[in-house]
Amino acid sequence: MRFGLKIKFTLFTSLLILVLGVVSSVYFAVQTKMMLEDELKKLGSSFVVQFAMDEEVRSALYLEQTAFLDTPLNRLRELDVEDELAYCRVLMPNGEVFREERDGSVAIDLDNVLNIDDLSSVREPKVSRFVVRPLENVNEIVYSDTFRSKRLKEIFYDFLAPVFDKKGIAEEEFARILSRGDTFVASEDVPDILGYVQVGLSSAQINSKLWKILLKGIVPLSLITILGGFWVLYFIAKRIANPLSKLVGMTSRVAKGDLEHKVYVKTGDEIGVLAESFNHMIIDLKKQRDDKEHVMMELRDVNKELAKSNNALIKTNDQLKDAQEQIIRSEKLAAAGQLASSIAHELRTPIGAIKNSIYFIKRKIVREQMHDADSFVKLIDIVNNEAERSAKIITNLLGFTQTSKPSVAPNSVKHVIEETLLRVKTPESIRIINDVNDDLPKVLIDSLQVGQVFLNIIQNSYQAMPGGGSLRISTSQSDKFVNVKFEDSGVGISGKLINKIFDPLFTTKAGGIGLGLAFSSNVIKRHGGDITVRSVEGKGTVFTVSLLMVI
Amino acid sequence: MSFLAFFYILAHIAFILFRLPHFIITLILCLSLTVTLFADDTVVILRSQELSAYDMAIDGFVKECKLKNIDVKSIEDMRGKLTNGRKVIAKYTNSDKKPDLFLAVGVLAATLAKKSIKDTPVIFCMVVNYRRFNLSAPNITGIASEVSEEKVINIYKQAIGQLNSVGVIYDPFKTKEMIASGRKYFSAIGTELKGVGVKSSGQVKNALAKIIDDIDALWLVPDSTVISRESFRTLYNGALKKRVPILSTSDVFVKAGALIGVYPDYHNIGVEAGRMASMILGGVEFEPGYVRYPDKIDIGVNLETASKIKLKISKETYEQHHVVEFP
Repeated sequence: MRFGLKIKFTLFTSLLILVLGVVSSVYFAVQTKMMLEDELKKLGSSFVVQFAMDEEVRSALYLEQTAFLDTPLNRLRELDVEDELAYCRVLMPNGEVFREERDGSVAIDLDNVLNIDDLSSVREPKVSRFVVRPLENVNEIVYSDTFRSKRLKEIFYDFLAPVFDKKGIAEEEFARILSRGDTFVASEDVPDILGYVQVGLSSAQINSKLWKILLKGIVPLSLITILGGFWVLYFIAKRIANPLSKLVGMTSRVAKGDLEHKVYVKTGDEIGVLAESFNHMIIDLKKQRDDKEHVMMELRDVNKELAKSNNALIKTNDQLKDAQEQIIRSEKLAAAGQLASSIAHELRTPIGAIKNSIYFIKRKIVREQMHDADSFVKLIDIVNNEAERSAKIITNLLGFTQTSKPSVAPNSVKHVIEETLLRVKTPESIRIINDVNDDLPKVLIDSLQVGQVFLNIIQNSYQAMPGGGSLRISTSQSDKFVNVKFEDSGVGISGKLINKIFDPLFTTKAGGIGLGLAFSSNVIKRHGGDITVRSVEGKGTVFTVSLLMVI
Repeated sequence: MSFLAFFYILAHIAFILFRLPHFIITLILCLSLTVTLFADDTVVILRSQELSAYDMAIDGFVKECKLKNIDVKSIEDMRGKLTNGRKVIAKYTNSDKKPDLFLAVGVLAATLAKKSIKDTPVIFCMVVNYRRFNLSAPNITGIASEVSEEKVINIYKQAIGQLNSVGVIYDPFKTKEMIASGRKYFSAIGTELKGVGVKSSGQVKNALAKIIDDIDALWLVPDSTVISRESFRTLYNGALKKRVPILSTSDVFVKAGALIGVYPDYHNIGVEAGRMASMILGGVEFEPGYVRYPDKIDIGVNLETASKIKLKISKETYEQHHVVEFP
């Protein structure tokens, strides 16, 4: 997983802000706690001073009447609006507890809080190291060490103050005595210190206040600061990273070949300069690419021209080759025709004489009732049949060599096929499948010549299926031709021979003379059509005859 | 008695030296006896501060002293200041002006006397809820400024009839003992006392709300934590709203709206203190810390409040006690 610069920057600085936020929150919390502790100390000092200076407390200690402390204690409790007062004790000068009140939750041994020896030393100057003076011109305050309740684990702050008896005479009182307005009585021997008051404050409220300050002040402020930091950071990151992202995106597009766009970064800083340089680079690249493409286009045109010329050459070559083959075939055909014509002419007359002679021989044998005439007749019939056959061959040869120019007219292919099938005797082992369409357009053909071609093909198919099979005759239409397909399931023709089957005098049959297909090809060519063959040895052969349709 | 011996010896010396007739000697002797009888016992009254109730008690005391031939040498006012009291006591205890008995009126005077006077009898009076203070000493006796809880509670019952439950708001630091005593006597008349402790007058409102629906009357004890001008208004309005009568122990609160108040006759407290002084000076010894409740009591009734909460004070109350009607 890859992180972008924006995410990295945001994450890092967010973490930094978070850490700073937490650290500052902790710092503020600690400072706040210290401040609250100071406030608590001041409050405790204030409590103990007021309590020690209370006239009723003095009266209570002097008169040893604990009931007199009820009202001062109530006042003290009312001053304790934060409910921080944990305990309050009034001690006699000898350290004896005169009255003690404590909050129900304070389960500590208060005697351990204050060392009686220390208390006695409060009255002596040498132990003043325990004495602090939080306020001027007030009774001395003894501030003992803080102590911790083992049970409650709560910190208390203990404040101790001596209660001094009033000494001396006020100025107005002195004036009244001197003017005999009041009786001057020597003071009894009363100790300076009437007792001590001790106030303990619980720090539980500090934690409560701290939590309140944390929840209402520091935490929300920190959250706002952190969120604000994140927000500012997001925009800074966006401002820095967005141009870079644009540059990265543009680099990717350039890498893919897109040189049509520019990076629009107008920050005026290093990123702006980089973007400008990048744009210049794109312009240069585009110029180079355009030049290259121009050359390439020229090369492509040349290549196209070359390819076209090549194709023309190939086509010409093919035409030449076809022409050459046609010429060779024509020459062959012409030569074969000429030879056949000569042979036919030469053999026709003798065969005719043979036939006539045989006719007369046969008639004579029959008329003269010769011994064993039947045997002679049979032999003469054989000779006559062979002579007939030879005459027929000669006729065919003459027909091949003297093929007339086709007399074309619009004809129905279906009709021609059906006529042809009537002319040929189909073996019982062969099944004819006639898939010829009824609505084929008419074709321009000499029905006799084309019918002969169809006959040749059908007969060849029959001969190729000596053990039986099927012959499927179907038609189709393409462009300006009607195609007639003859598809047999015969023995097929090997690949070596298939190109030679339209050559004159080429035959694979024992009794064939190799002129049927050559004749057929010649006839179809004269009609402006085409005849093709496809064959798989052992599976069958397909002849397709394409004939020009009437437009 | 030292004076009598002194005058007797003086008369014999005069008979021997001046040969005076015996009737003259007898006359001198009678005169000296009279002087001795009328001027031998002196009392100094120490007053915490100047209050009409204190003055009523002092007036009764002085009058009774006159009847008993006790010389009230001085009425010293502390003006609420301990230092003043200390000066006064110092003045009398450290000189030949030392009286035969001190009457301490008010709590400050009583406690100061307890602290500072050890060898002279002291009688205190007008100390509200005296049990809060440690006033027990061999030389101290007193007259309580309240009627005993038993008597007060019985009068409540007589005045307004049987009560199922009575509420009380109190500061345990101040009136715990009074509440304990009251609980005992309320229980004796078949009434449940429901107490709610408070630490300040600010807690009174909530305390009243806790019990007001479950009580038939509210007992207002003399507790300075509970009773302030503001809290009394809260108590009065809260109780009136629910038609709950306030039973108090002072005519001050009856005037302010409480239905009934059972309180002593302050003048009579002084009279009783005078009688007690006479007895002490006559040689009667009370047990240390002896305090007696006043005999004569008054019953204050606020008719307006009675009308508002539709309650009537019983005829027996009117017949058997001195009832003062307010307003």
